[in-house]
Amino acid sequence: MPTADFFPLLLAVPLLPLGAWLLQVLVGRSLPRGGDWLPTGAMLGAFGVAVLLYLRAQGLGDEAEHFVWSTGATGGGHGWKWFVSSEGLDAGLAAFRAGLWYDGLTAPLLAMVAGVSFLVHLFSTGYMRGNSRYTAYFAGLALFSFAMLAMLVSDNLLFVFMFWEVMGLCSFLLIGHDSLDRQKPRPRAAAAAVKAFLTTRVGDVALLLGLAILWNGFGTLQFHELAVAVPNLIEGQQGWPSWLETAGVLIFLGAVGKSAQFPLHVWLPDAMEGPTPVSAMIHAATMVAAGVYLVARAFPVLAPGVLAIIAVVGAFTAFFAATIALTQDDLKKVLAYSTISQLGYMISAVGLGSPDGALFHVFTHGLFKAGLFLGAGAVIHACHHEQNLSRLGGLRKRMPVTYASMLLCTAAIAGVPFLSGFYSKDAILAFAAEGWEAGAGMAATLPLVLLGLAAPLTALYMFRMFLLAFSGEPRSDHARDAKEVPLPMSLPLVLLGLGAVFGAMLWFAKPHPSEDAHHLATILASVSLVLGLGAALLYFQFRKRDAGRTAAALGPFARAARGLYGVDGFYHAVTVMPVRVVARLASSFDRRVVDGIVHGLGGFAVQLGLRLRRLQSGHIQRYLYLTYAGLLALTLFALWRVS
Amino acid sequence: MGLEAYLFVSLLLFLLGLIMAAARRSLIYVLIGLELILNAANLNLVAFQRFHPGAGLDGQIGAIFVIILAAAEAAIALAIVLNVYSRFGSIRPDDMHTLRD
Amino acid sequence: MTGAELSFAVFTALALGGALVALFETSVVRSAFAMFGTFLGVAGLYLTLGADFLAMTQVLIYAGGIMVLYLFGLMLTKPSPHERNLRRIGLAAALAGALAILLLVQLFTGEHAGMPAPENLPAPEPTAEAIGLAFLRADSWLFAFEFASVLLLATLVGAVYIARRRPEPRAEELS
Repeated sequence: MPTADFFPLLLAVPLLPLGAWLLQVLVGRSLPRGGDWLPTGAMLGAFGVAVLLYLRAQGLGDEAEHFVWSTGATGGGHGWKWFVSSEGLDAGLAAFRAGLWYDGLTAPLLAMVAGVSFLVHLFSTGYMRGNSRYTAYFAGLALFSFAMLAMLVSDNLLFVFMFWEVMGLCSFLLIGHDSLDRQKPRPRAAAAAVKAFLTTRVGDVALLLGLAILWNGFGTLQFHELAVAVPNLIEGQQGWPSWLETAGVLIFLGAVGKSAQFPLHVWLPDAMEGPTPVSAMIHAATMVAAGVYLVARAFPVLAPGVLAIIAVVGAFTAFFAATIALTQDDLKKVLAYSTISQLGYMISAVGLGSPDGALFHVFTHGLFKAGLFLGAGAVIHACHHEQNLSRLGGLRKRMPVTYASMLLCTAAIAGVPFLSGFYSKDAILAFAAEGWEAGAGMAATLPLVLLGLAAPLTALYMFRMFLLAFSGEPRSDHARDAKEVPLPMSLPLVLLGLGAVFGAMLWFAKPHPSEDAHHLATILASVSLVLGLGAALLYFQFRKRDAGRTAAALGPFARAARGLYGVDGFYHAVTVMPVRVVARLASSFDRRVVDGIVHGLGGFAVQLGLRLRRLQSGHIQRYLYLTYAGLLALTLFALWRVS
Repeated sequence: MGLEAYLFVSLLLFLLGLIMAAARRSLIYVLIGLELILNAANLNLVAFQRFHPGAGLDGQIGAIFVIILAAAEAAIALAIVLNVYSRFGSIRPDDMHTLRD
Repeated sequence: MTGAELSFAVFTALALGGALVALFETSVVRSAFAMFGTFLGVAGLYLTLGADFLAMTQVLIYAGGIMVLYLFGLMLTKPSPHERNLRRIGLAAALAGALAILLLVQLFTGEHAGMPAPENLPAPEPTAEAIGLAFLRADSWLFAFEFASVLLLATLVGAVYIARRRPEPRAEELS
C-alpha cells in the first residue's frame, strides 16, 4: 500500500473547476472575453494536477494496477463525518463518513476526464465564439466538469449520487443552451433538455431507492466498507438476500437512465440539440460515463442474477443502437447512437464480471469519442451548421487536420488493431466469450452473440459516416466552402487523435481474460473489422452509393431502424399522451371548478361587502334603527327563553 | 296603584323617547329622547323596588347613579353638540356623515 | 278616586303629556320646556312611590341642572329653520310599536308572584337618611359613590376641553 498522501492534490482536482464556476457565475460577464479563460485555465490546472497524480500512481510500478487509496481506509484522519444516523449507531457504524478515493482505476480516468474537459473548453472558445450566452455556457461547462471529477474522487455511493444529480442539472442547462439564444432561440433545444432531464430522472429515482436499501442493510455506502460487508453477509446467509438483489437492480436502473441503455436511451440522440462541444462532453467525459462508473463501483453489491440482466441489457443495447446508427443521416445522430452502442459494451462488461474492463473502455472511448464529437463540431462549424451527411462530403482536402484526427478516432472505435479501442473492445468480447465458455443457456450466449453482431456493425456505421462526410465530392455549397478550423479547435483534435491511438497504454489495470477466450475474441474482432470496413468501403467509397439507397436495399428492417424501432413513439403514446390528457383534464378542472369556487367565493365576499357597506352610511340615526332592531331581537329572545 | 300601572307609564315614556331619538332631526332632540329613556328606566327601578318589600334601597340608589350618569352624559353630549355645530355649521344628524367608508 | 290614584293620574298626565309635546313640537325651546314638565311628572311619580329623596334629586338635577344645560345648548346653536321634524316617524313608530306589543303582552300576561297588592304595602318612610348612610358606609356603596364623584370631575374637565373654542378644519377639508 502506498503511503503517499494524495489528499491535497486530489481535493484540488474538483475544486479548481468549482472555483472557476463560482467566479464565472459571479463576475464572469465583466471579465474580458466573457471570462472563458477562467474555466479553461482552471481545467488546465485540474488536468495538470490529475496528470501529476497519475504519474505518482504510475511510480508505484506493478502495484499501480491494484493500489487503493481512500481517506476512509488509509487516509488517516482526512475525510469528514457528515451525519450520524440512528440505524448506523445500532449497526456499530457511528456516522456517515465522506472522503476521497483514488485507485488504479480512478487514476487514468481522472486524468482522461480532466483532459477531455479541458480540450472541450479549449475547443469551445473557438466553437462558441459570438454566442449570446457565452459566459453562461462556460459556467455550465465548468460545473459539469467539477461534478464529474468530484464524482470520480468520491469514496461513497451517496456522493456519487449527489454529483450525478449535479451532472443531470448541468446537462439540462447545456443541452437547452440554445433555447435561450438571443439571436436564434431554438425551442427544440428546450424540449430536448426537458426530455433528457425527465428520462434520466426515471433512473435516478430508482437509484436513490437502491441506495436507501443499501444504507438500510449495511449502514454504509462507502466502497471499501461495502466491499467487505457484502461478502460477509453472503457468507453468513449462504446466498444473496432478495433485498440486495432488488437494490442491485435499482442501482442498475439508475445507470440505465444515465448511460442511455435500452429502454431509457431516447434522451441521448435528442441531446444532440445542445452545442456540439457539449455533446462531446456528455458523450465522452462526463454524463454517460457516470452510469458505467456507478455500476462498476457498485459491482460488489450486484448479485449474479443482476449481473446477468446487466450483461444482456448492455449487449442488446449495443446491437440495437448500432442498427439505428446505420440508418441515421445526421452526423451527430450517428455519433449519438454509436455512443449508446459503445455504452452497451461497457455496461455489458460489468455484467460479464469485469468492471475493470468496463472502465477501460470508458477510458479509451472517452478519448476517441471526444475526438469524434469535436471533429464533428469542427465539420459543423466549418460547414455553417450543415450536419446532414447527404449534404457533406469531400472534406478530406478541405479540412486535412480534422480528417486525420477523425480517421484515427474512427479507426479506434471500429477496433483497428493496436489502436486504443481495439484493446478495450477486445477485452470485453473476451469476457463475453469467457462467459459463454463457462456458462450455458441464454444468459451466457446472448451477450456474446449480440456483442459479436454489434462489432462489425460498429465498423460499418462509423466508416459509413466517415466516408460520407470526408470522401467523394462535396454535395452542397456549404461543404464546398469549408475551411480548416482555427488552432484552438484543431489542437484538441490533434491531441485526441493521438489519444485515440495511444490511449490504451496509459491504462494500468489491463484486463486478463483467459487465453482461449482471448484468442476467440481477437479472431471475432478482426473478422468483424474486416467485414464492417469492407462493407463500408464497398458501399460508400468505391460504389459511392448514398445512404438512402443502402437503406432501401435493406427494406423493412431499415425502415424499422430508421423509425428508431418505435421506442420514441411508444413513449409518446404511453407516457406523453396520457400525461397530456390528464394535464388537460386537470387544467380544465382547475379553470372551471377550482377557479370557479375561488372566484365565486371572492365574488360573494365582494358582493356581500358592497351590500354591507351601505350600512356604514355615517348617519347616526340609521345606526340607531339598527340598534332598535337588535333590541327587538333581544327582547324576542328573552321572552322566548322565559316562556 | 299597582306595579303594572307604573310599568305601563314607564313603557310609554320609553317608547316616546325611542321615537324621538330616532325620528327628530336635531341632535338636541336626540338627546332629549335619551333623557326620556333614562327617566323611563329610573321609573322602572323605583317602582320595582317599591313593590318588593325587603329589597332595601337598592333600586333608588341605582336610580341616583343613573341620574349622575345622565348629568355627565348631558354635559359631554352638549359639549359635543357645540363642537359639531362649530365644525359643520349645523346640528342636523343627517349633515354629519363623514364617518363612512 | 282616592288621593293616591288622583296624584298618580296627575303626574302621569304631566310626564306623558310633556313627552308627547316634546316629541311633536316643532320649536326646540318649547320641546325643552315640555321635557321640563316630564321631569317634574316623573319626580311626582317618585313621590307616589315613596322615594322622596329621589324626587328631590330629580327636580334639582334634572329640572334645575340638566334643563339649564339644554337651554344653553339651544342658545349656542342655530335651530335648523324648516325642519320637517317627523319625517321618519313611521319606521321609528313601527319598531317602537313592535317592541311595545311584546312588552305589553309580557306585562299583562306574565306572572307577578310574590308581589303584594298595593293595599298591603308598608307605608313609605323618609329615605334621605337611609340613602345617605348607604352611600357612606364602607360595606355598602361607598366605593361606587366615590367613583361617581371622580367620574363627574372627569366629565367636568372633559366637557370643558371638548367645548372650548379652537380653530377647526371645516367639514369640506376633512373629507
